Amino acid sequence: MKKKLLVCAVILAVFSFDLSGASFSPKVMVNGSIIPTDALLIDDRTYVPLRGVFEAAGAQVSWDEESGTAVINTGSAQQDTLVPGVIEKLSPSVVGIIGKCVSGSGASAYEYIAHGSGVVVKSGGEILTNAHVVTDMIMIFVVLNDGSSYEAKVKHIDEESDLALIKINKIGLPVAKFADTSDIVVGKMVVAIGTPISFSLRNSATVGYISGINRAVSGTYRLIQTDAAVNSGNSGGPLVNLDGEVIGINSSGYVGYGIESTNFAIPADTVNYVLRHFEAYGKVRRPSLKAELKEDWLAELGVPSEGGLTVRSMDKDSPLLYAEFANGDIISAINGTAVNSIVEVNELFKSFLPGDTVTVTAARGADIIEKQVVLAEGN
Amino acid sequence: MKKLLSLCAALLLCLSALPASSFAEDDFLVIYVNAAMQTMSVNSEPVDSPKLFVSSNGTTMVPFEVIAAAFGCETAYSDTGAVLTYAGVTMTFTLDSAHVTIDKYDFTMPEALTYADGVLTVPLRFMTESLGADCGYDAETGDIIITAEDITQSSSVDFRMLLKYGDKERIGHSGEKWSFATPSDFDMEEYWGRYFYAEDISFQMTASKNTENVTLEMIYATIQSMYSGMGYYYSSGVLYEKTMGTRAGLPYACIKLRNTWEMAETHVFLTDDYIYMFMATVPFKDLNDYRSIRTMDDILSSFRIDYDGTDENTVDINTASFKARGEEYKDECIRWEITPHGTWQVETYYGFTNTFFMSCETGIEEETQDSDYYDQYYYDDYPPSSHLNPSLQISVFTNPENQSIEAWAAEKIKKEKDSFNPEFLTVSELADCTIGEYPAKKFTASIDYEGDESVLEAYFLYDGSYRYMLELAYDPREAQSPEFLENTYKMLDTFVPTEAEIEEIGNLLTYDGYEKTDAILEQYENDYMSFKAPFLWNVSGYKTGSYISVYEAYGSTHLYISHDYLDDIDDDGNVLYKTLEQEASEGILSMRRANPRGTVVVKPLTGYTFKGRRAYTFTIGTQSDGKVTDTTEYIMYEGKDNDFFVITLPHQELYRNTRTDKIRQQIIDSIVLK
Repeated sequence: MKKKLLVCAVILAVFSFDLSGASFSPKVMVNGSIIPTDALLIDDRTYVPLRGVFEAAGAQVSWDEESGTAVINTGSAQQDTLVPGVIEKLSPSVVGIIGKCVSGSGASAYEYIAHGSGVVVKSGGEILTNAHVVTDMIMIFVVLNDGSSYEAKVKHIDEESDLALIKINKIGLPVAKFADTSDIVVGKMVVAIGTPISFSLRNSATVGYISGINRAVSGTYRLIQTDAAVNSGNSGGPLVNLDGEVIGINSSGYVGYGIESTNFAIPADTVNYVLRHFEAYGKVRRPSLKAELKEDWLAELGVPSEGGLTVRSMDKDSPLLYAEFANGDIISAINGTAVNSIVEVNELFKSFLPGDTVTVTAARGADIIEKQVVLAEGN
Repeated sequence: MKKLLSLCAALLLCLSALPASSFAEDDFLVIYVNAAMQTMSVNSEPVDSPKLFVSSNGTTMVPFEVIAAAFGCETAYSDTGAVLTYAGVTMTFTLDSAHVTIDKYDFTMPEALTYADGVLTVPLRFMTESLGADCGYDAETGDIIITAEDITQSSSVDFRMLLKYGDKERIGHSGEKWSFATPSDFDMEEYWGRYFYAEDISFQMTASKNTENVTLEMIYATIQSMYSGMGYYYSSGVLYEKTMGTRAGLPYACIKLRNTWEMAETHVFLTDDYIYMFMATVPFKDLNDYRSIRTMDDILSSFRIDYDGTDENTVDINTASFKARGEEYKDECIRWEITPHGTWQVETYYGFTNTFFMSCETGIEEETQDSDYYDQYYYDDYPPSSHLNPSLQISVFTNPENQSIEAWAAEKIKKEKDSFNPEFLTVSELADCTIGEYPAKKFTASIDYEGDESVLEAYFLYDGSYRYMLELAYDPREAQSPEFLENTYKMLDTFVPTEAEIEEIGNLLTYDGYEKTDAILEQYENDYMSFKAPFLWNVSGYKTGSYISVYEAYGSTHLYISHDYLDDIDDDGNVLYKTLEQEASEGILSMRRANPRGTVVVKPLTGYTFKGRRAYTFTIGTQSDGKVTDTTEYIMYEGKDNDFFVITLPHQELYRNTRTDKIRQQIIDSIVLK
């Protein structure tokens, strides 16, 4: 029994040692700090004091005399110790955005101050935020973690994905690291960092879990759903995993009747897609079918569906029209990938550029037709 | 040691290749890099043999030293790498390593800092973007274009400026710094955005870059248009002072407006680059208010555009203060007396415009007071009608230019003729008359529109100091009651001009818009067409792309231009193509079908050429009792891209006259198709 526990400890603790040394005492590093242990290396196995390592990792350790069991509890301790570390690590890369907006026009125009958050993506002053944060701003200030502020210009804006890149005349900024897309899984603890509600709460953070992914609410692309509180001022700020990596950009909460603590973030892969296009083309070059596609009623409700997409109408320059598709055809797949919602098509199109050719499979009555379609340039 | 030597050699090589131009001399840096062509330039100066190459993973590599020199970075080299300092930030590059430390943060470049042909090279995008530059790509030429502003001079700004001072760009941050002095009771706490508030005065200052080459004349016209075109709110006001010229050595324009509840004024200074605008409004309580707005003169006298911005405020505060305001309303404007007779009574007094409005009960029987008719026109532009009570309006004006009473009355006659369709209007010659014991001039204008008649009797009188205009309006059927005219003329005879008690406070707004219809207020353009809007005509809906409305600021004439496509998709998803003629015919048919008895084709569909494009025109009228009352003329002409435009010209017959027709024709003639 004792041996098994030790194995667990070995797996959980991060350690480093040099095999070349004969009488060598391995060092043990937990969450970036070397902890004092009298670790032993015996038969290529490292033996460390259980309590020392686990407590350093933030767990609570107790001993059940009756059953002879060591009880390790990592639950609340993880939040208490890891989250401040994450916030400390990422905060320098999170900025507050404050600006003046004008609403209305002519004599009835009035000005107001609005704010949001952003993430530094380039050391030379480029900051990513939500498009809706900066769209109406006529003057934008970026407030850095150290309290200094700079005037910003909008460099690129993409309202479809609700992302915008703004720039300040300041260099030497720390850049946030984006998480691997495969690391975004339901149940992971996340931290939303930003400036909620009042600008005086700059760089405040809220903790929650990823409660869903691929939720298509009303967006063009899939979104991450979280119960971490995302308020209007959090918009544009990062949703971060406990490694301090950005898994998404918070977008203001989905407000609906009976919906509580449901917030959304634009996932890192969409962010990377948009940033890549900003860099390469100065805008997002979206492929388009230039047609109105109707989702199955299930898909419209956000329920998984296999109903395909019905062609309702086509622009006169629609590539579907060129490929001799007709209204009423039900598109079931593009390049062999089943598509049942507009969001799925948009997600699929992230791998293509206008001008690329895809195979579109559709049902026309009892027939299945398959045609090559040259994707058009979206708006 | 060998490394150090090669580094030195590389440095020498680079130095010889350095272009003369760098950030040190220009505020703006543009670098062109084309690895395929092996060309590179810095602010148009070519770099000799730049040693560019693209790495195996597609990263464009450029000489480290050329970039560092272009930005004016401080550099220090060692045998392990290079340290660069720019805008207070230190970047440490390690030779043969992709690792870079910027300030205290670690970064990984897509390629290592490395020697190629003896030249130290670095990934282009990483290095330039880290220095704050923007990296762009010209797909046609294959050029990578680096643009950068000089950020070494830029410093952080206090974002609270936004809350306190609004437009930082415009105040103290732009090259054009400006200041002015404000009264001592100016509450800076209430400086929100660009608005000041101090007690009752609200004051707004703006400066904007004149990117569209706006002229002083355009500003002058626009402010007048704004003040006179804001509907009810400002329409009862008088633009009592209009100036265009120079002030403090700068082109300057000023428009002042007053009405019964507010005084407003706008002052504009123009420099080569900026438009500075000051707007103040004071709610009207008494004449002291009016005088207090003169404080604007103090503010404007203190206006400077060369302010060095040495203090954070950029706005100087001095000790000038407003005069204490009177507690109670005092009318010091009356310069005449009149004694009401019969049922005449004072209805409204527009104190500050010196206009009384009087009315009396109508003698017309109740059943002829067609309430439907009234309702129908109440919210619309109702024609002058006897169904409203008889009215008398008395207005007083100064006469700064000693205009003769004949010339003044002639202006009024012209305005009357300009406003109504001559077919329904009869205007008498100007005649001598007396009001009480005072000699006066008089004319009568009668309108007979579809059986609705009204009479205007206008009297003009000048006592040597002030001019008086009395406008009596009534339905001729009122005259059937013998008391009506008797009481009215008796009352008019009691009119007595009296001594003026106050200093001169203004002049009549002479509505000079008609003489300036040819002036270009603004040129409106879109992708398809442009046209000129006449002076004091407003344009709305522009830039929505499909619909433009052009209407007269004061009047009742307008036209619309809309844009549509000839192809459509029907309910079954079929694309339908129509010819312009089909579209036009269908337009007529659908209007006829919608109202078969009330619609009549006045002018049938006629094809012609409009500005070299195929076009059709037709006129549809609305009829009641077999008579056409209003007509709408349509001009449909072809666009370029299977689209078409429709110019819609509604003619309300009462208001249709040669002047309005002429102005609308001018707008149509000014259309330039793209």
